[in-house]
Amino acid sequence: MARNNDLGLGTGLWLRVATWLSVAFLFLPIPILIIFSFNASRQVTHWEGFSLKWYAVAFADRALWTGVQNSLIIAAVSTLLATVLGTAAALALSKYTFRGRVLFQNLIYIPIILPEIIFGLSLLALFILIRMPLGFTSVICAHVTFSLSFVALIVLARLHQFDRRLEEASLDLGANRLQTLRYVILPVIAPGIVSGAMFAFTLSLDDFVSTLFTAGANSTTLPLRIYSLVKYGVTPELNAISTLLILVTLAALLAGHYLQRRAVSQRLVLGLGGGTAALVAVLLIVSIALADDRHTLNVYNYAGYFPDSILADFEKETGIRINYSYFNDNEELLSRLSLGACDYDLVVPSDYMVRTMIKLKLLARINRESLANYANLDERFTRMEFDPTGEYYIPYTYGCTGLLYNRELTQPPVDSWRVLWDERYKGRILMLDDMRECFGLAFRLLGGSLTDRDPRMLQDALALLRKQKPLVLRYDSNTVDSILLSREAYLAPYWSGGGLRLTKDHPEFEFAIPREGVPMFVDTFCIPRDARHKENAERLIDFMLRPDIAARCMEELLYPMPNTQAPALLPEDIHALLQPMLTLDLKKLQLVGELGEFNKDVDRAWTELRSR
Amino acid sequence: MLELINVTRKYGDVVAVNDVSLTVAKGEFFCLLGSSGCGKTTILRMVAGFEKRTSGQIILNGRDMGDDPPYCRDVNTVFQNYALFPHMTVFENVAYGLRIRKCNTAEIGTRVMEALGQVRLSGFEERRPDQLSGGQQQRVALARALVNRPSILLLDEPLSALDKKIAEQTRLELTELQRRVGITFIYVTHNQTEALALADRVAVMHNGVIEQCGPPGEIYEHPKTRFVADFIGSMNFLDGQVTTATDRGCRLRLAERWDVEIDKASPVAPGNRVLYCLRPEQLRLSLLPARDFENSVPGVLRRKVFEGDATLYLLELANGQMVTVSQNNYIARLARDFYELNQEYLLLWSRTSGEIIRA
Amino acid sequence: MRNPLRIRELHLLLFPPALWLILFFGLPLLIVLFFSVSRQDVYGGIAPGFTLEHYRRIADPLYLVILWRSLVMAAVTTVITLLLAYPTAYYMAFAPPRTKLILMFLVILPFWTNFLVRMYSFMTILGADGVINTLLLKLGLIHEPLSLIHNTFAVYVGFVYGNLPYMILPIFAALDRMNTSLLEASMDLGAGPIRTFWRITLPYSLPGVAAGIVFVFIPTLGNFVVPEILGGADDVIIGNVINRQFLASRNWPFGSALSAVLVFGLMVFISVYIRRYDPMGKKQLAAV
Repeated sequence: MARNNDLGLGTGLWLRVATWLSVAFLFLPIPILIIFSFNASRQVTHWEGFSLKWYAVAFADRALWTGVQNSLIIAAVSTLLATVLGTAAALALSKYTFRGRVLFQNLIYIPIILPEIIFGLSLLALFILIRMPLGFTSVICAHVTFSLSFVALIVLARLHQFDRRLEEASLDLGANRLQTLRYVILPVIAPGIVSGAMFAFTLSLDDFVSTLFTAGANSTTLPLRIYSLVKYGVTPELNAISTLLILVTLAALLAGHYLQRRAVSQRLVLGLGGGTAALVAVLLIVSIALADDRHTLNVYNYAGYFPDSILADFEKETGIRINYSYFNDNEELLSRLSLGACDYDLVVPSDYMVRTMIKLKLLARINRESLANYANLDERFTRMEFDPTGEYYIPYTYGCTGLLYNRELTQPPVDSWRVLWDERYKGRILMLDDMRECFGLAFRLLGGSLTDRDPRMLQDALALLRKQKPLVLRYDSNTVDSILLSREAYLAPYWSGGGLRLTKDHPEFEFAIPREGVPMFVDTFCIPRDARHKENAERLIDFMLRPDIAARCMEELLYPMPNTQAPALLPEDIHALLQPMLTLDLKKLQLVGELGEFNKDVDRAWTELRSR
Repeated sequence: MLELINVTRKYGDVVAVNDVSLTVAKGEFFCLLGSSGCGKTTILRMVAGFEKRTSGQIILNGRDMGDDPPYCRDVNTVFQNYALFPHMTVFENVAYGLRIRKCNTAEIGTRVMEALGQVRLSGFEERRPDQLSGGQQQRVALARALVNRPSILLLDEPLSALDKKIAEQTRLELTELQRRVGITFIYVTHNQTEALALADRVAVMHNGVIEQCGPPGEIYEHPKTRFVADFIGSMNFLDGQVTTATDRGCRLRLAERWDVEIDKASPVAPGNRVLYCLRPEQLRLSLLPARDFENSVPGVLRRKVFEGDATLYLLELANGQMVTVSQNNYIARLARDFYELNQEYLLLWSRTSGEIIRA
Repeated sequence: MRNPLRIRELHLLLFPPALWLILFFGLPLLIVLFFSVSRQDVYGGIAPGFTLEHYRRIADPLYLVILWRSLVMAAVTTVITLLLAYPTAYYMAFAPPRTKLILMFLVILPFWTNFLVRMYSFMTILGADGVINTLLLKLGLIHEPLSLIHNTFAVYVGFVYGNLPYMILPIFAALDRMNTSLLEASMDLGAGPIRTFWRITLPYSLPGVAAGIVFVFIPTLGNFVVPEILGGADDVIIGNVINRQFLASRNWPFGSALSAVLVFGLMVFISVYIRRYDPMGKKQLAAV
């Protein structure tokens, strides 16, 4: 459209300023990400000189590259399917009137505008009900469904401009409908199909929410990996990854632009794209067929809770390939596991959760005889109250929730949980985003225990926590260290491993065991009932029980392990750091039991606390 | 060779083509003429196979092809907007039909070149449609259809998108081309000049029926219905009543006051009302009666319109009706201001002129 | 349509996508509906038996307040986004072709980088030791870091940031299609630039605005990631609650009931809205 005129449209100064401000806002994060990816400092925004070490970290991050690989496979396959189905849908909609057309049209439109969470969870519900294992297939199904709609709409827009006479001309010249589709319609709408496919590909690569719901043991994608990195603290590694992603995107866009400039025929682009996607799909199928399934192990654990280097050593020693996926808390683990569709071989629940899982018959008996290093275990931990037979679990680590605080910003004494209600620290208190921890603490201060399941005390506990809420900066379990380090918060209840790590690297922090006592937890190795690689799981457990490995684990995680041989192998400083934990009097500590029906009441109270 | 028998096409309650029968002979240049919505394009599309008839028969070379899909019919179409495939070169466009028929490459090459030569587009093979002018695109469309050597070529308003000069030139080329290739053309247009200039026979359509079908001269000279009379060229209509009628001619009383004698047989019995149609160029304007123009009616000159080669004079008759007279400026050697406005003149015409049609 | 060939072709085109969508979109929604009226077993699973208990639980003012707050947050986000996006889209639409191309590229590029990465980048920018605070402290404009993150403000920043392209592009598409002769006609008929904007430009761009509103409002309503990453102590919206019912709290029926209510509300909203504005008009999407 010719727009040559001198009306001065869209040339106002304020308009220009507003526009460039908006664009700057959109753009602001990108240079910052790029600049700080070269920062030598661990702390994101303190510039300590140029360094490429975060790129090294990113390149060495195995989980990241597995994620990239999975994302690419999923994106390629789902793009291929979505493009075919979406184009067919668009053709049907544009060329025909039929009964149920409006319904069909809505079926196409609604996935686009439905909040993704609902889309994701409803698919999860379907997969559970039809007992379809979660994994590549389920993620691909999810991605195809929403991409299909976008492809259909983009192709439809193109078909809208398609001159129906071209079709008639082709029929008139003797081509039948199939030939017409192949030689005339598809080539003419090819640009629409290509942009639809590109859109589908980006959507799939970028998708987080529905992947979160539908991913299984071996299908952790790049966004899921990034999410776990984001949640577990801001590290410059993320900056490096983001920079790489941006560069790749830019390269792809420029390549696309170049191809367009050179007027490379659309058929070629289409052929290349389709060919690549098909190739990847074939490779995927072949690799799945060829992959020696016996030599894999699907681990479901907190992110980073098995040190990467140890897993790498295990893989090297045994030739077993580990797929590692993450959960955030015991409840999420239970949800996934009770779906019975996840194909996990080794999970790491805490004490009370082990009991629940045994009751739900989710766990398999562990073959203790096969564990050469079983004898290294501290006997106090092998038959604990949540499984007196000791048949279903092997203790991994234990710890407690203590009080982590910055000595320079608080006034002594900090030896009681009560300090979390101190007005002086208004807005500087961080609480764990965990209803059992928060209510457990409140019950403890009220002189009871959450396991009593006392509804009246629940009300008092809620009142207590609500009184505290104005002082709380945020409920957060994952980025406690970085928030404390940034001095946004001064003190927080925290798990001993994370707390000790901070005190080790930063002398201004202190990890205290308040005098009211602390809740204790034991994290365990368990094997799901329908694990397909039970023996591999047992091999990994045994590996972790080896004194040298256990010592390395303890050094890395700063959680003590109930291993009688390992402490002696610890470096002196680590041993000193862990000393208070190693000598904890187990009799004084309390494991928090399961809540049963009471769980629902606590959940409601928690929602009420969080939302008002 | 092509025969339509009682063909009807309805869209819901709307009848687009109403019980049409017609025959097109081999090698004929046949034209369907009518204003938009008259059903001419629907007939074309039914012959091409893009639309289905509701009832009736469409017989090509002795076989009813009413239910065949377009790609099984031995007819090809030149579309109004040409419908050239934008993703193909000129060569590929023209070769399309042959490739679909799996002709061998060498034959495709020769035939495409031949067809492009026929439409004077040799050397344009590698262009894409958007690099061609409208006239060139039109000729590609023509070549693309002709190269298949169909029994019938259907042309849907092929010249309407071209500007006037090019359209006139292409018109000439089109007739020539048709003579040369000897293929039957069925040509749809709303432009009567085009139809009269091109066709061997013209069918004038109105409201889904063929009002009249015949050679252009006959259509022009002897319209059978008021619509045809009005649609083709310009025409004056005078109300009249037949007073007496013989085989050779009849007497009419026009506008209840003027008696005239006409050398035409009346289509109705005496006493019935008729329309007497006179073309502006059949009328003369004069102060005095003239020998060659037996009939005369008085009128007052109200307007003059100078048209270059001719001048139109608008006269008001005593009953208030306006009549248009066209006089050639050169032949009459009349000065433009010869006739004065608001002056009474006689309207003269020969008793052999004009047509009588039912009212 | 009576032609069997055509019908077979239609079926060939229609059935695969239709089946796919019914299986992986329609059916799952029905399952959620079914879950929402099922009993819950002690461990959060689905137990046989019909109950409306979960819907009664939604009527609890607690959840209604969260629902209301989510609506307000989504609405405010939409309005802010619109206010930022409109001038940008307007400028883009009437800019010279080269500037237009550059702006398009700039608007789309962030859209091509991972959403989580973009959200994460705001942790770097807004944090107490983030770029803005460091800068302001170094310049001596403030002595204490400002609280820019872990509060509702940060959530709005995240929402607006994430959604801005979705608002700019449809409005741009609508304005870009506008024939300048309309504006010329308006001015010719005596309307000044401001009146021309209100009487001609704005109405003309309304379909784009309507599409943008749908693209921003609805995803924001269900978003739970942004509050989780950037929010403070009480930035809980409906998405977080639903997410927790399915993962942490293990109350599938209740989560399903919440989802069903949300879906139903959105359906009503959308059907009314579409009838009014046709935001899904094909032309809007041509631009995306």
